[in-house]
Amino acid sequence: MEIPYIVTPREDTGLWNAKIAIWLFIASEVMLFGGLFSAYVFLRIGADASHWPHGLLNVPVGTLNTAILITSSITAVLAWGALKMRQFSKYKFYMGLTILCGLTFLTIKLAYEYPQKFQHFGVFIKQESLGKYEPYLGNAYLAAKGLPPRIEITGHLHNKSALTDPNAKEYEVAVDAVNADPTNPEFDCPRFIQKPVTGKIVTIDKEDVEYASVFAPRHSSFFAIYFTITGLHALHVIGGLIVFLYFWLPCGANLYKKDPEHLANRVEVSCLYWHFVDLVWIFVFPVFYLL
Amino acid sequence: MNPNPSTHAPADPHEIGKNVKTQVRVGITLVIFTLVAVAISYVPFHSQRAHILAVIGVAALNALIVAGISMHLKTEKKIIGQFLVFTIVFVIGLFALTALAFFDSTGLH
Repeated sequence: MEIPYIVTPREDTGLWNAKIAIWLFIASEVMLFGGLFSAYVFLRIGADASHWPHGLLNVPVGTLNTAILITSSITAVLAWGALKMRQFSKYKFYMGLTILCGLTFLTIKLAYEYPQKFQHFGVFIKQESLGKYEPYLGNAYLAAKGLPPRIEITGHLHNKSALTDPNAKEYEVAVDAVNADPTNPEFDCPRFIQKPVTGKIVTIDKEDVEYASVFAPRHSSFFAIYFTITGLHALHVIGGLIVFLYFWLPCGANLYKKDPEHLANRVEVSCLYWHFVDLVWIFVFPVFYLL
Repeated sequence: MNPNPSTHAPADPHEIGKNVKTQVRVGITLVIFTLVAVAISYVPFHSQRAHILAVIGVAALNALIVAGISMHLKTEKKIIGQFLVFTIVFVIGLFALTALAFFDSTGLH
């Protein structure tokens, strides 16, 4: 038995099955990400200025990843166009490029950006001990300029045993440039190119610490929602790549031999999904990296 | 229902070529607008609200281009627009709940 309307549209809706199905799926995805973005707004407007970090994400890398994702959307459309014109080898080439772009995006995100965050360490200083660490926080300078105070010292943890050793009395942190030179005006606002961690080691007594964490979800509401949304987005990219790979491998060739228009329609709905993944990233990028 | 799907002829190359060209132009526009958003985010604004509005405004414009042109929503069948209205109402409702919860001062003294 042949399933109706997999290639030709239904008379009443003017749509074929997969087209209406992908739009229903996208509608549910809009609600999913809408819920998460409203959670972001709620966390952001409720957070104290000192507790919502700025400039901790790598903007040039995020911009590059945005460009890669947009390029993959273009190559996906080129693959679809090639199929519609029955140019199968061109289709294979452009679809291969799309998969490559998707994999590059994921590699940058999961193998470069995330591990960098997990290496970075933040120490939140107790309110009553802020004065003791003034040389690394520069709050008098910030107050004079009307800027929110710094309550965190960041960098790379030197004595990693301090995390597990209950007898360890202090954290030794190779601090970021902002804590090494906190009254430098160039750190008044986030920088486009991040400066590397300095060699300056600051010793922080554990008794002065409100809490300390690597840049993982437990660090702050910012990183909690950042990892939730970007992680879910990465899962969507993986899902899209699996579908593209399926159509790129011999399964696609077999379907092309049987009915090229059927494959073209399937690739078209996959492209629709891929554009949606692109659309979500278009909001993720400015919301987390730029604001 | 198509009794013999393999008889589908290739699409009009001119039409497909036009569509693909549009999509490439859209992609280039998106990259340019992304760079504009990055540039705006480093411009010192007199208020944080203006700064957020400017960056989100560019992102929203990008999103409209993707939805309207890349995803063909502008020319898509009416029925898709009809059920997307429900989705949009739901999302607006979610954001409205967030705003209501934030500005709710009931019980505060």
